[in-house]
Amino acid sequence: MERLASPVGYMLGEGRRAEDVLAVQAELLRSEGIDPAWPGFDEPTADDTQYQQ
Amino acid sequence: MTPRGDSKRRKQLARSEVERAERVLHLAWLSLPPAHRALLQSIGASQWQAVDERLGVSVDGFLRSAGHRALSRSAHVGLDNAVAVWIQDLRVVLLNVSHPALTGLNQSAYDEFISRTAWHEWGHALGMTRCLPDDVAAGARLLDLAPEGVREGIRRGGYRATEYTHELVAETYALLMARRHRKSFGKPPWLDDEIYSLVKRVTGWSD
Repeated sequence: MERLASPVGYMLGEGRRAEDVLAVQAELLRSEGIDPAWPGFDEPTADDTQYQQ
Repeated sequence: MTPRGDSKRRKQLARSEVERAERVLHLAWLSLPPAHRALLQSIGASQWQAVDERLGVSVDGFLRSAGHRALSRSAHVGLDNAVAVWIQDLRVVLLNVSHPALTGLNQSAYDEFISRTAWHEWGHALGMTRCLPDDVAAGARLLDLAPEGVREGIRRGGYRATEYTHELVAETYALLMARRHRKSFGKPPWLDDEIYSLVKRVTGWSD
């Protein structure tokens, strides 16, 4: 039986939380004048669905 | 496997909450550039799953069910702390939607975080095989060129130096998607030219 190379997960690091990641992103967006507020998603269109999972 | 300390803080989600997270992931998938979705589909990398358990458990289960050996104990423990993972050999992204680091987020922040985490993993899926050995070898130098918050985030993630380039590509891809989702295109002023060129080359980013 084969053992594959172990995949590497997305690690936030000790004591680091999702808010910290979003704060970094918000700071970068704000630095170029982009509103960092989450815009949500539009409902998918028919064209979108041709590449659905 | 001994439960880790963080499992004590882990909130078990209701089935409806997991299904809602799946819906957000689906919308995040649809928000990718169509050419990227097509490429991911063509290489069989368009599968994802929201899971409500530590990823060491999930990944181990996926590998065993595909006929592979179980994870080593150290890999199991490492993945238990991960928020998400791209399993290259099985072509699937798994995201722990009840990870303790997500506890306390409001709905909007939760949706945004799992969306950008999925973008991060799809950035891996697009870029990992096209990174050249020289790109990987340049990881520490490239990381020095990254915005401070991104650099520190990757350093605190505890990655090996040989993983820096892959993480930088994936995180930059997530940030570019965050801009694109807000109708902002082109090279961001905070992004180094060399990193932008790398991300364009290995992921096919073309905005």
